Amino acid sequence: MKSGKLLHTALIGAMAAIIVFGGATSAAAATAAKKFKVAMVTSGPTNDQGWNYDALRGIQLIRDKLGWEIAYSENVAVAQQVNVLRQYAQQGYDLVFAHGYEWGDSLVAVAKDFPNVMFAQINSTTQGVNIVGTSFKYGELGYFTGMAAGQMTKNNKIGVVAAQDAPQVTADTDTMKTGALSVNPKADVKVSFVGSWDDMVKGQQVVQAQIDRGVDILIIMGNAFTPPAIKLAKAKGIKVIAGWTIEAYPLAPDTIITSGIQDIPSVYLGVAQQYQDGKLKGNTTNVYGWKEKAQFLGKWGDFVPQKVKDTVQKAIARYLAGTLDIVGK
Amino acid sequence: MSEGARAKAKPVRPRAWSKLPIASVALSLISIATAILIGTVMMLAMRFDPLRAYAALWQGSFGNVIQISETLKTAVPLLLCGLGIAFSFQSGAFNIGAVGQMYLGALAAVIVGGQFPGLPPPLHIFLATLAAFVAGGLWALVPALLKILSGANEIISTILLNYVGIYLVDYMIAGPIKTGGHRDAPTSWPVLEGALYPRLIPHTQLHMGLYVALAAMILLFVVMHYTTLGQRVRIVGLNPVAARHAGIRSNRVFVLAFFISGSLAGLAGASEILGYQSRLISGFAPTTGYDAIAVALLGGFQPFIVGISALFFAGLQTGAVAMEAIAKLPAQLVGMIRVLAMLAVLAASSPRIVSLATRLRGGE
Repeated sequence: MKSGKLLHTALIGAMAAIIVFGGATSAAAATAAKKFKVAMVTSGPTNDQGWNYDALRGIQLIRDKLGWEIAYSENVAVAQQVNVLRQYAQQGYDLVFAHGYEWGDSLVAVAKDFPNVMFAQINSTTQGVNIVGTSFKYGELGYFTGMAAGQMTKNNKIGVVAAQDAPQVTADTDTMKTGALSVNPKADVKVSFVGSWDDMVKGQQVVQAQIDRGVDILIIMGNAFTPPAIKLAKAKGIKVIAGWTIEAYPLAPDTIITSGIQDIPSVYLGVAQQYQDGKLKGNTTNVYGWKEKAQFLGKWGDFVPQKVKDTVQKAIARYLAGTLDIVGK
Repeated sequence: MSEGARAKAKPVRPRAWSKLPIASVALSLISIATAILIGTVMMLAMRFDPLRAYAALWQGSFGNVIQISETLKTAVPLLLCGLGIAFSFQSGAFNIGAVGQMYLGALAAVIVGGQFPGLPPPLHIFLATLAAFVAGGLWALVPALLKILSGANEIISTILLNYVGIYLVDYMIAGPIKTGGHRDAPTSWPVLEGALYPRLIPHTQLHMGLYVALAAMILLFVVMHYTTLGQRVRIVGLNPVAARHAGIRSNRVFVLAFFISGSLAGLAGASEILGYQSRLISGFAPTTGYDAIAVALLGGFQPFIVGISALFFAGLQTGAVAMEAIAKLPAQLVGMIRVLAMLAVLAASSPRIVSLATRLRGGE
């Protein structure tokens, strides 16, 4: 009984000590050198060779090209989002990247308390004085992949297998049609949606339905369902354009026509460059596309005729020069 | 029959820390020191500054009012789930299903909290919380009834039901309760302003759920030590056959223990959603329900000690973030150091160590 009381007193003492000393240590905030510092946080593991790995490559690019100091936290649980963002802001990081839409609410909560820190969120439109969102210039990849597909098809039937019926996806599927029609007025482009970025079973079914329609070219815009879909198309001798977001050539060099690549590390570099130049503004969504070298076509398949490549490359050059309108009503 | 049981059963004193000699406290300190030492060696071997890392661990967990709030916020669901697990384990009902029960609670909270605009806020908060309480409890009844009716092992069935709960949430947020507008991943509709828990400290996420958890802790202490139900739960847990001979309907106690355990986990789900997350996303709390088992074990199933244990676990979690951000330790190393600290405390409170400490004091 007596020791119980002792323990109790000790615990209360410990609690009191926490509160007293707590105030003291917090005053010792760090003020570092002039070198710019960037931090990045992801919800998943940065060794996934995919979405989260791109974030790590992004800040590494900032370190290598701009000489900034970098730090990151991976696998952050929802419960720790605000905590980790605040930690970096308190440490005097100039720019903090949150990798993905799921950080929106936490960013808004923390950003208010740190007006001198800039927060950037990838693939989002979250608003705040010191929050900047980023997105890709949707529609570009669609037009030029559509052009390639329109030239490569022999029976004029092109199938598009897209993930979700969402604006960022349909912007590309819409321009795919205009792109294909610009080189092949008889091109018949049909779009079907899987309803998910990763559902491999549904992906196979949707691809099979397009194959049953008799397409000889498939454009596949997915995530996890893309590799098996390419495999299925390859088995049927159908040529494929993939990407969104990665280089697909190594998956099937004899099947892939080209890839529509969205390069996340370039977005990171672009944001950091703007910050360094004093041009990064809050309350905006920065759009990164061909001009910023964040979107481009991947390696061409060896079987693709030079004429096809030339036509597309010329169109890209005209687009960059401002003489080609890809949205075209 | 209940009268007989009450008369016969001597008040079972909690074999708790209140009986422990000072030597065991010293032993805990020694074991924590050992953990710190091993962590130091690991950090030195990997060329990190241990002093900086431990300073960051402290600063990130209890360093100032904001970090303390962050730790308390993290402790809330751990405490609620931990209390439920402690209660069920004491009755011999091995409920490993806190994850699923918490998910169901969160689901119910977001469904009720995201509907019925115009309700007065206190009522809305109450209804959303109540829905979570009931949903978690009902979800826990499934394994309890399976056990009683068909003898299905509750450890296996609760683990399996965790998956069902997780998938059910994934299904609901991808369809029936999906939010409008475009998001990269499925998300539920948001909780309405009026159903959100009030914040306790400005500029932090610490919310009213803390009071809910503390109230649950006190209530459970009273139930376990000062009511016949608590006594029956312990008797059934110690020996169900003897309990039956003493006239206790052990099945009924078993089911009740499961319900209370599940509903506390349901409250944990509600506190996460109504407290600060405000919408339900896939994997909103993937490990809390499992971590809470360790919280309950470490707390020796005693409500107040479970509270301290939840605070300890939460502090390690929030502090770990600071070790990454301030001392730039890789996440994997931080994870190892965190688990080492848990192991050390678990070792210090293991029965063998406790009895050794008792003997050191001169036996009892």
